Amino acid sequence: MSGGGEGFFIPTAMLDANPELATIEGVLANPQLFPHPEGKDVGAFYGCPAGWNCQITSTNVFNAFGFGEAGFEIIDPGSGAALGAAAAGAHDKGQGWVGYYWGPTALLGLRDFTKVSVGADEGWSADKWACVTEEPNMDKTGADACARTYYANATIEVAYTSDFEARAPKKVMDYLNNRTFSDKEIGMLLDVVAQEAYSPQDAAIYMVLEKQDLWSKMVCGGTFTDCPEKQAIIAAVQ
Amino acid sequence: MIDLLTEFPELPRTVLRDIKKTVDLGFKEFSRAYGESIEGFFYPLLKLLVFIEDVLIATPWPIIIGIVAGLGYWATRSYKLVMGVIVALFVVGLFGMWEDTMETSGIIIVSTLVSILIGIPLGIAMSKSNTAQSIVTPILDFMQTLPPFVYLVPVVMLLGIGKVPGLIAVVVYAVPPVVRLTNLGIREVDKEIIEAAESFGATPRQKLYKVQIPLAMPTIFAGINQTIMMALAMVIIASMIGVKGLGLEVLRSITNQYLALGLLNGAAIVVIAIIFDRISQAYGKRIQEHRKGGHH
Repeated sequence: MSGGGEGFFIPTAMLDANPELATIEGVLANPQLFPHPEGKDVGAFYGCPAGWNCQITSTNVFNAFGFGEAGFEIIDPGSGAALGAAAAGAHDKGQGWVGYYWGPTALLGLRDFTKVSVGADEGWSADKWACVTEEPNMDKTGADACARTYYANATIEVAYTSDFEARAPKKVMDYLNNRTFSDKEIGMLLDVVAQEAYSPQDAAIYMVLEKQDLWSKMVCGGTFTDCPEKQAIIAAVQ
Repeated sequence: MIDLLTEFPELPRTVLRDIKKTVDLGFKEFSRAYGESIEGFFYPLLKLLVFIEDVLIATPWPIIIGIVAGLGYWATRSYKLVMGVIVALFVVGLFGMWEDTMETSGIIIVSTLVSILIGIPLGIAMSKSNTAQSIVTPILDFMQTLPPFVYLVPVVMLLGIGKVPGLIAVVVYAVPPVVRLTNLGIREVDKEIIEAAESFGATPRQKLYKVQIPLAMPTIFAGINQTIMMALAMVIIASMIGVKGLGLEVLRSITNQYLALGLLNGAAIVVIAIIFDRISQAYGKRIQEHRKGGHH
């Protein structure tokens, strides 16, 4: 189980037979390991559905790294559900699969996928990323494509209106401003939710009762691990 | 006590959880064990679909328009329809939708043929026995109302994205009309005519092929028409599991809020639907020409 972030993922089982697939260069060198669903003689790369921002970014990154020239073809999965189902099915059947995915999600929680890594100077940078987010660049391949760059780590933000900030009690604003979870923590929670088939209500109850170390400090402020607010929350879910 | 009336007594969460886990894990194991062989089973069908699509796209467009217009003339003997077909297809190509239209037509043709090949014999079998009818009817109800994504996500997990799950989606939705209407048509054949046939010594097979089916033709053709319409309606759902063609373009325009693109591609789907429908309807009417005119 990995934390996630966005990127190109492959089933971890593929690394046992071909450890070089952990890097993007290894993937580019082996299109034959990624079968096309229609039996064509090209490697299949599963992109994002239409309307998703990642369709633009993954196509531009695909072009930037020269996947097309290396013998790959982008497959439009049509919908998020189909993308997840194709990845899950390929993982379960032990087949080769490479495509865009993101975490923390139920798919990455329940099945073993590895994010493909890029070279040291091919990571995220603000100016290179500006090219990748532009839709008209999707048609540019070869020398016209964007420079090589990759997905940054995603940060979780809390957004509120200034009206809300003005009228909310100080303790609430303290909580909102300090509220944070790591990739691993969210992944672990999603794992539990999937294993136990919790509904959202059950998951919230589980979080409140069983994972107090995750949220106590955020609610009580600073390093305090107990306060009236925390007791009130625990009492509310009983 | 009153709680029992306001809160439904659900099964304990652990029971539901165990049921969910068993089904999900069971399917995972099934996929692991049989996935490859099921994929292999459908491989010839996939190759057929790819082949038909390649042929439709590779054939020069004047030949395709000529063939469709020719089919239209053969079915209807009406110059108005032929002109309409030529103009409509020309406009579709003019707006840059030719390849997509050919891709969609390919899958619709195969789906409709498969649906008819499965549906008519099933309808005939249903008409012969009330037990068969009572078993098959709920299955048809299921096929028509179960939300497609419920069975499509497991199908995509087993077979991957693309044409075969798309074909399965379309066939599951499009088969029921032709089955129901074939069953209805044959059952509604006048009892006296059946009696007359029997009194002339017709074997059950002769009765079926020479009396029941010919007399049920109008209803059977209504079923075929509905099947074609439902197959085209499923084009969008099929595109949600990656089937290329007009459906995928319509999906793109929906998700990106491109109004004009959506209208154009939607109109192309309507054009195909009308062409398929008019030709099959007119053919159906022509093979029953002999029933008009005589006064016996």
